[in-house]
Amino acid sequence: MFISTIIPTIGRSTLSRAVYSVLQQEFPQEECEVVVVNDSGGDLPAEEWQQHANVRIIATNRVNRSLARNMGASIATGRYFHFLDDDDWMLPGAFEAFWETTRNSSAAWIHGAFRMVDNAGERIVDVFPEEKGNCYVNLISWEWLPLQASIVEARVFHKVGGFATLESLKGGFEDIDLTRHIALNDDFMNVSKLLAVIRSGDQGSTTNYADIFIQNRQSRERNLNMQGSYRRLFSSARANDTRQGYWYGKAVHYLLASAVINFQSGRYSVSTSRMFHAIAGTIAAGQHLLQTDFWNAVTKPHYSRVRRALESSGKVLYQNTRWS
Amino acid sequence: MEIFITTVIPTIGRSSVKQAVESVLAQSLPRGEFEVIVVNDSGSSLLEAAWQKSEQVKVINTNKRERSVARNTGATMARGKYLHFLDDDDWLAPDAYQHLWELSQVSPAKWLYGMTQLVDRQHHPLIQLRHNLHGNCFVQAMSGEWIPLQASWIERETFMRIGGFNPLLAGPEDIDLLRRLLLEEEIAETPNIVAHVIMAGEGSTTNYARHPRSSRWAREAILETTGAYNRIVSSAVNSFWHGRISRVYLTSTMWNLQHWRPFTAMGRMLFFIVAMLHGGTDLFTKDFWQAVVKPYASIAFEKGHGDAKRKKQLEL
Repeated sequence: MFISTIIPTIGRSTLSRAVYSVLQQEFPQEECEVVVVNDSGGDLPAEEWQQHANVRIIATNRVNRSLARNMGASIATGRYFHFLDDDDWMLPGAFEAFWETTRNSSAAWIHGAFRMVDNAGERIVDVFPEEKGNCYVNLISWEWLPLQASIVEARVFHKVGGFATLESLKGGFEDIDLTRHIALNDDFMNVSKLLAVIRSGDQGSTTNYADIFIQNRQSRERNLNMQGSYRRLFSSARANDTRQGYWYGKAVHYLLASAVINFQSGRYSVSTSRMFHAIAGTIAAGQHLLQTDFWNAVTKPHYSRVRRALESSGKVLYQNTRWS
Repeated sequence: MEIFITTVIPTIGRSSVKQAVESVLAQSLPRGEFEVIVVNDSGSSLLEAAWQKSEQVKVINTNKRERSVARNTGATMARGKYLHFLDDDDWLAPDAYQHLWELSQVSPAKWLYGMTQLVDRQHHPLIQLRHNLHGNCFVQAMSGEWIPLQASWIERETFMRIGGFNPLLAGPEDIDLLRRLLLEEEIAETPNIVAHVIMAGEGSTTNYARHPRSSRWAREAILETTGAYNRIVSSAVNSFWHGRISRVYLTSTMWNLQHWRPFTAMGRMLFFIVAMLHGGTDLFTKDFWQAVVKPYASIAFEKGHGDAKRKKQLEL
């Protein structure tokens, strides 16, 4: 089987829309399945799709979305996993686009463009991510490749142990954390086509957006601690077609930031290690040291594609976030 | 609705799963208070059997994901306040639930356990394991002491909070879980036999080839946790265990040097020195230095073998 779509649900009424957006894809029936993980603690209201031959429903006991997704993945049979949420939906042609891409690419993670909408379903922005190949430093910089518009090879998903628990990341960020963990050893590929619609904003979300900066840091430290992380950081800076200097600067920036954080929390050996590699990376940047782009990247925060798009749209989606 | 306990049994399709399930269903606790979740990880469907018809049994099929993922999968479906992980070739003693229930009434510990009767493939009794570990036993667990899951009852909330079994470990996932739990929580023992466990190298699903490498990485991650040093110090009750702390950090220093992690090695070395200084007058005891140089040997196994030998001599 090509693809398993895994949908954890807390019993939102929009679940049916999500399921039908998958079942109505023009794709061979025997090549896809939907695994609905009902984590609501109660029964789902009866719907027609529950009788569909390609749908499996499994109940978990309110374990939160990370564990519910891992649970869905352990019973899924597809070669690729696709994680959808119960308030988002797929656009027609998405699966075909994924399938086309897998034929020409051996990437472990394939992702496409996505539309962010507000609670009323009104379009806010369309985002076209371009990360491909080795993009570790881009993901460490908080570029976001939403699960809804992505598929991940099942073998690789299991190799990294699936999603980290929300507790270990202080409440969220498990999706970006997974892309980082996978980018540490495997490559990515993008599709320049709108594939999914994502309901966005902190109103009515299960994500704890207030602590999102702490979560980002927690995930970053977790990944920087992994074997081969420093090497991958600089090889991914080199792998960018454009603005290599900028991404070298970003790699140095995050190592320095991490050195400070670890020093403050009394982890002196980790701090020294980060500092040492930041210096080594600066030397390795070579000619890029002459570019202002490099020094901008070292000294200034990164504005991700989504953040730039949202700011130019003029809408305020995240009211509860502590921006620091 | 919450019930008292859920037993999760991952199976690779062995016929002995019947015995495992029935040993749980025969427990004397009220029927509404426990359930069995069989996680069939064999990749094909199970042969139909009478026990599958029991209202207390649920079967879920995973797609050959190995033991840790299978157990985590079962745990996410569980309704019990406590989780119990049995294997498909082991079985419970008749009063196991009763003993654990009694213990749970007097102990706030999050990991409760009892004694284990080890048996061979023909089910002949070998030795009995009495671990005698209570409260905060972090240094003991870091030195290699471990408690069979088959004889353990873990509070579900705590299990979920610490993230369940590490899916990347096949083999030492039980001791890894115990260590992570002991970073924050405590354990308690009931001196009764609660589980019969087969002890045999062949026919086991443990991937021993992967064992040492992944185990060391998991151990290093635990040593890196904030507060690990304070926890390990507070768990050392005598000069032997003070010596063991030094040994833990010394072996970690060597391992990190061998794996080209000089900065981490340096950090461990500092803790090794601090641990030596912490030892104080213990440094003048023989126990301390024995603990530093002596490799791990299971205390429970040594005692079990000793007891078995004494019993034999008495019979003669």
